[in-house]
Amino acid sequence: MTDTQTPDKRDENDTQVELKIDTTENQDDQKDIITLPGKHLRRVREENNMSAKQVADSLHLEVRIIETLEADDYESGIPTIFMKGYIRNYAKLLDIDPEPLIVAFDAANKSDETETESKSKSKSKAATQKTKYKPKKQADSNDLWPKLVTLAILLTLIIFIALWQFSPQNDKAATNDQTSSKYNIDLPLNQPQSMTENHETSSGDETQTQIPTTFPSSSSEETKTVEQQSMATPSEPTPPVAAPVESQDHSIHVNFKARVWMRITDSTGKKLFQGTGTEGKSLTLEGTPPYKIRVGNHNNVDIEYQGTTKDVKEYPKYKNQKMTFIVGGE
Amino acid sequence: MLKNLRGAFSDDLSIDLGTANTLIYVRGQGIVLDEPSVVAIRHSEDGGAKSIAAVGLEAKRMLGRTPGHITAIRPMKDGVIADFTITEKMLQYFIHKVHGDRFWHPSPRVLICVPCSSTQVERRAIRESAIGAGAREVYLIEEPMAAAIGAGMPVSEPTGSMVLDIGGGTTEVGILSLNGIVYSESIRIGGDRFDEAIIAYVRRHYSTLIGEMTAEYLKREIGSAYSGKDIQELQVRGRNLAEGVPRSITLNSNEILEALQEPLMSIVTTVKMALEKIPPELGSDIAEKGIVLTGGGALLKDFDRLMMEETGLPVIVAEDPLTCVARGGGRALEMIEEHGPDIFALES
Repeated sequence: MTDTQTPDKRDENDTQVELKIDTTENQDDQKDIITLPGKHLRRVREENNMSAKQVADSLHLEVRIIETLEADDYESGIPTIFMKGYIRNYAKLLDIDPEPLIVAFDAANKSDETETESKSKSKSKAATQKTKYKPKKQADSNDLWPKLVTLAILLTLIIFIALWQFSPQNDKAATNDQTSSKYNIDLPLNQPQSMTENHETSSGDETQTQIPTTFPSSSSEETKTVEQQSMATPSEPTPPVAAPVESQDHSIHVNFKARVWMRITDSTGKKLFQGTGTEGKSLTLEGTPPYKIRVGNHNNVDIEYQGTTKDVKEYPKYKNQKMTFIVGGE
Repeated sequence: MLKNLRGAFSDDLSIDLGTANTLIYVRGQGIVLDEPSVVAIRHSEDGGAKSIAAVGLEAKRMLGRTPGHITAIRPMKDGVIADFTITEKMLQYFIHKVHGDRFWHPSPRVLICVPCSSTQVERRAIRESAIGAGAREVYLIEEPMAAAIGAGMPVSEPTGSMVLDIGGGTTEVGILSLNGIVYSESIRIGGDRFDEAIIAYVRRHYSTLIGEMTAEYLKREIGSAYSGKDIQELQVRGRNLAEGVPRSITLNSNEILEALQEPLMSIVTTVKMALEKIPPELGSDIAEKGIVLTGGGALLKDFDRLMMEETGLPVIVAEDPLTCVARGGGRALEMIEEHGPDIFALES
């Protein structure tokens, strides 16, 4: 590396040494140590009547390196670690404390590096990086901003996932509660109450027609429930099963063909149902038409309204919104 | 992606899991832990359950002074794991100490320095103990490489650099160029062997048994690798084997030098062998610049002088040689971050 140093450069270095010696000759020793370690080493060596060659032989270094050290030439291409090591060894050889020299070297090397950097700005960047490793600026793990940004993104993601994934399921329990008072769903436990509701809210024809379709299994329990219901409301005569649908009947009947999330509101904005229905289940709702139906999977829901059963997607869309349909409106 | 995301919240650690000391370097913070690799284990009265009584400096103070139910042990031997479970516990303790157990700091990415002569089984043990201690990702780097980077040697340049890392359990010789190891050799001789040599010498010449701590004290205070002008003396106490009672003896630096001859010569031989085996171009580079000494053994007085005289090459001691490997590991992590893991021949 240092073999490539040209004789011209060496001459230039020698001149620099001389100049430095001239300018600092009258200064005290301490100042020399602080500013120029090489010069101090050279002076101590001369005081001990040692030649550069003797020092080089003792340290197993080339004379050229000793000269470079004494010239305080930090641009010789010798890595800093070796320069410092040589200075330490040299100081030990001369029986002087190496630490002040190392401090001086660090100070001088730092200023020298700054100069070199300013000079080398015009030179190629690659060459500079080759001599000294400079990590590019990058986000450190201790920086706060990447953490905050990542946390914000994470939170947003979690909220969206939670809304999308868990909201319908969470509402299931609430739906069941609503079912007990608002509509009929073919859960045996809810049936008596819902039946009562139907009798109270509708003319009864619709309900009666739905009973066999809603509960095709016609289990004994269900039959019993219906009977109980009939007994519970003796004043209200049970309409015949095949009674015609009245024009004032605004009840809506929903049949699920698969697991579908659905929300039904009437024209007053009252939420009649919100939740997930499963395959084979049905529900009957009563409200003020038109009904606004928002449905998750519109391929698997049939709506029966005023005696007409249609796929929900055949109803007009609400303000061209996806998955939202109007039943009983224009 | 998830790893990167988690990486933003955790610190990267470089661990020098040494036989004598464990050092941890945290990227951006420097050396944050430097403790002896010693664990004190407390045995329950029925002899069944074991628990950790102390780790690190506190445990080292207990070495040789423990009651029956406590055992102070060094889980690393010759640079590799001697007791897997205890090493894992020790690592867990150290990582927890520097990294904390906070919400903001999930498992860290860890780079561990291993001796170049360690076997695949030994490396796997180190890796698994680090994972067991809570590391998210474990990289292994060979100690000469880490030592050279930590010392500031130009390892990425196409020029040969030679490093001699004398640790507690092993001594590693590495010749590096272009971020790779051209030649490496590791011998299971280090600071511990120096201590053992001193103990053996004192036993042989003074019929006195001294402890490891005393031997280490002697080595540190008056030990030298090359005969100097001034002779130092030190008084220590040990158990006289003939009388069976503690006695004081005075040793001088020449005696310690004599005691250390055998391990020192083994190191010299290894270095010479390495110089014989490397390509001549690299040999020329090393002859010009010299050998760099790192590790705690480099602090042995005049060790550089001995190497210089024996090899005829310039030999220098790195700055802060004890922390070179850990610092080098930290620097290697930064380089991996910048250039990707392919920059070194890492095992991950």
